Amino acid sequence: MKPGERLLALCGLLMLLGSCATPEQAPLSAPVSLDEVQLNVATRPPVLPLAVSISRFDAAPAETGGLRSAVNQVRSVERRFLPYQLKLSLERSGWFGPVRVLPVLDPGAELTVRGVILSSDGTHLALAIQVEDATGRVWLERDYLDSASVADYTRDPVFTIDPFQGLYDQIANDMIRVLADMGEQQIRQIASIAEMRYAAMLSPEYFGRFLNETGDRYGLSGLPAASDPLMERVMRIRASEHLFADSADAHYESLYRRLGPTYAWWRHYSNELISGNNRLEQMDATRGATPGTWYALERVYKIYQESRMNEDALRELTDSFDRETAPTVTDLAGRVVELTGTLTEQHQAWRQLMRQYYEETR
Amino acid sequence: MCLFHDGHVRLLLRILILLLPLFVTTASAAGANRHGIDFSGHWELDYQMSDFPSEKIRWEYTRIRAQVEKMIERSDRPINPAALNVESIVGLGRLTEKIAQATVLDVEQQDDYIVVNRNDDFALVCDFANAAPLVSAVGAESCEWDEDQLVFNLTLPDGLRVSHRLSLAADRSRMNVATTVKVIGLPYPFTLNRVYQPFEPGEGMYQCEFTIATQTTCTLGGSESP
Repeated sequence: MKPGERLLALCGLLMLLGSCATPEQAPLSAPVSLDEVQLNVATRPPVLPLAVSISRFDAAPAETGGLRSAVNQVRSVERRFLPYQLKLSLERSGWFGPVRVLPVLDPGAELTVRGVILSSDGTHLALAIQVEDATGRVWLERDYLDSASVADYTRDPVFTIDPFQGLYDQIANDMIRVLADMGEQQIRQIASIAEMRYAAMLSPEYFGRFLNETGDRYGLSGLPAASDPLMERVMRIRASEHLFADSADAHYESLYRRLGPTYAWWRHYSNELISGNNRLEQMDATRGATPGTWYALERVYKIYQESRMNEDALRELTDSFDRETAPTVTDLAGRVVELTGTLTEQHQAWRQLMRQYYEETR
Repeated sequence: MCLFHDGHVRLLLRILILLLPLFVTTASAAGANRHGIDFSGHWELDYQMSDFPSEKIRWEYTRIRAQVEKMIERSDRPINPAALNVESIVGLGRLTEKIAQATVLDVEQQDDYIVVNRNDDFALVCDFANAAPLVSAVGAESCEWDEDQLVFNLTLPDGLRVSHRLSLAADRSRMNVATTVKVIGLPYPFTLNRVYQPFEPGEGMYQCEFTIATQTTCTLGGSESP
């Protein structure tokens, strides 16, 4: 956009805003508060617990992209942080088997959760969630929106309660509702198809024939014999895969524990800004800074400086997370392997190794 | 029908007011580093070549007072000296001193961005590919190339304007950061020049790195230990 056009657009926006300075009017779509949502907790352990793989969330592109955008830095943390928050809700519900957060999609997952962060500013959180089982059946595909108030933050000064906990619990409850309607046979079939899809990923020419694929849906056209040596090998590799997934999950837990307080602070701070109630101006007044004095101007600068230094801290933490993911030492069917690089790189190397191992041992 | 809440309107208006000067100042794209200037490296303050804040304040005060006196002498109409607020140069100078406090700069520059890390202060960051100002309710920030100089502009509430102008000596022996602070309503901006010289960190000393897992870890680096 040319500078002239930019100014024109700005003037237009100012005129539009000017027309809004009329008596208070309710927004067109009021954000839903999910404060009252109660997590559906299982009274007894599930007979056939489905394993859940949550892939690292995607994020809708920020309007002001690039390096300067603090939003992008925070999104980078949130893409890893928010799936872990959902994992905790799913685990706490007791309705599912192991729940793991992974850097990429898990092709052999029984239940896959994908998420897109539509918006997150400490006041509102909007996520697009899709849940799909191994048969290709979509359990959920909807947007979730929750709002937080200043009270949500002030009632828990050490940030142990997530102000958007209701949103994660609502997603878990929606998943549980689908699961609860399923029969044992259906759940067993999901688990079998997940195994076969994993096997077909390693050896499509051999295991592909047990799967029938119609559009996006998968079914079984048969199963290999229980004593099939190739299937036994696949299962050994899959057990190793789960160990690797656990170590990837541990990285996300580490991020969650260490970055949690910083992220919570940012969100709280952002909430204060977005609520736009001139809190900063009020702080000046209460702290005895008379407007127009040097002290007041110094405080204006210090508030800006403080907010930017916190963005720097968040950026440094985010950068170091990817940089420092320690080499993963794991076991591949009895063979110790060491993987280095970022989690995504480690995951790609792992997949390569698995294929090699499968080919070598055929 | 209005799409915004009254509270949102106030916040947006505040942001737009902060943005307005940046729309004017960022008329030239930030992206054009036509002279291929590279600020990257480690820089420490050269006290000898930098402005000494108290002296600069005194010098500016004297200069502006002389200007004002001359203006009063030449004017046909009576001018109230208090209205010219010469004393404000002292406050402005002290504020500039605080804003330009960094003694060590660690500059990382690539083709598409620059990050100027400053000790005890926030990093000045410029995305050359994206000239859009970085805006929040507490202030707005933009950057632009002015020939071979890189300028960061901060537009803050209460009419406070800060700019940092970075320029590099041809032989890379010195980098100057001219920090100018203006306050709307005051006729005199104040500029403090801080000159930095390159240095190699960690020679025969500790090298420290921040990581999430270990926080800050320092190891002996540089020259061989005895």
